[in-house]
Amino acid sequence: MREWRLQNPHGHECLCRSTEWPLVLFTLATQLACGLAAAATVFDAMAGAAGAQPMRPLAAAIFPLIAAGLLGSLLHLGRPWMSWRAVANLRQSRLSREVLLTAVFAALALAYSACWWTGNTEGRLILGVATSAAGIVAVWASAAVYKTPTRPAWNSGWLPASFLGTTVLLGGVTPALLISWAGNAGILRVFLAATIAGSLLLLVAAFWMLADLSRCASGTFLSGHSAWLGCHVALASVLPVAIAVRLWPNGTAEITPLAVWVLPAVLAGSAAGRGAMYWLGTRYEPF
Amino acid sequence: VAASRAQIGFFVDATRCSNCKTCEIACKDFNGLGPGRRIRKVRSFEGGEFPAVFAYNLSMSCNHCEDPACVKGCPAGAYSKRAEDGIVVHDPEKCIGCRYCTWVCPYGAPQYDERDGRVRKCNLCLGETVPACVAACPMRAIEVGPLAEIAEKTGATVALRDWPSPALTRPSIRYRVRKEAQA
Repeated sequence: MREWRLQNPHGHECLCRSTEWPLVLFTLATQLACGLAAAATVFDAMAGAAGAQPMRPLAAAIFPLIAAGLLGSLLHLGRPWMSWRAVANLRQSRLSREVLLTAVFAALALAYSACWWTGNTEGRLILGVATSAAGIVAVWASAAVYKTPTRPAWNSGWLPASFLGTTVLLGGVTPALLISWAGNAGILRVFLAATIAGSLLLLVAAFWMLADLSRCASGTFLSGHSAWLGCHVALASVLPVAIAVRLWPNGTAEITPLAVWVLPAVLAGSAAGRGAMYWLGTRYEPF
Repeated sequence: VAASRAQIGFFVDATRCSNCKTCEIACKDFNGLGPGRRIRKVRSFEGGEFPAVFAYNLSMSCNHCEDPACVKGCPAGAYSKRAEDGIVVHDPEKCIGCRYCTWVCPYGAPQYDERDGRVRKCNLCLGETVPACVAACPMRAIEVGPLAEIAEKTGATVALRDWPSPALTRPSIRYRVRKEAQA
């Protein structure tokens, strides 16, 4: 006789919304802003205050990005006008800490973006290091929110790896595609290396997630998001690596026109992966 | 799982439960819940292989855990655990509708209401003599009382098949189940 087993081990479908697009926007905007802060700081350090001018539009966009992410996250709330209460439980709640740390990152980003916008170079490098560090802490706090034993799909190392991978990928690929690199091939290659590293980290996270889920979920459960995951791997892992490998040898060439197609595709792939993450974690109740 | 003296909890005799869902309806009626929101749920489980098949039903609402994940998770401080009886109370006025409690509760107890933008959960019908579910159950399968007494009942267990580990939040509930449902 076979071992006893339940016919419906995953419980019933949750009635809650499961894709969480406001949170996809919030997490991606935070990670893009963090990646750009780190990229601007690296550029500033390598090229010097005068040589880093091509980075100015992207560095100035850091604060608007994080502000857009925070405003977008309000759409996730049932009562957004009560959002000020989200920091009321700092002593215990990881979510409260995430909100506070993201607000600290946003405040530093405001000062950092203003520095670039006004052309003020005094103390900009130190502010860039502080903003990047605050961004990384905010991204880490964001990943910690999802580490809960009641959500097996999230309670694993693949999720922080995915958040970190997205930060590194977007921080590398965005300036690599949007800036004219004539005369700065060395710095471009730093960003291309970040692009490859972030893409590979995302690829590892995707397979790590599949390995985890194959142990605790059925094939039907997994097949429901295979298209999204395939889109994520193709656009946020394979495509950036291919572009980076193609651009590496001719690092001084004009490459800006590529951004028209590649950057939106990478962002769409990242959003598909993040959407799948929320779908997996919230679609089914714990038991 | 050790039971504290003051803690109030549920006892559900699953061997009596007929899955009539009267407890669910009474709960919805008392709390004025719309379609889809079930603060108390009866879950049915079945398994085995002919001729040795089995089925059992577990009626459950908030378990008023001794170490509640919702209290620790809620960013707005909308949840509190009363010192006098251990009841986990949710204050809808403080709720911001982030739904994080619905993610961290191992038992799916908090229920989000899309129309209201807030979460609702069992407050053990505070102010009533007995909770609506206890009063309504035609099989007298649900009881409420001090957890220390409930834990002493014959067959009382919290180690159930395919249930979240009681070590996660130390739920203040005990079931009486047939051996097939035991972990």
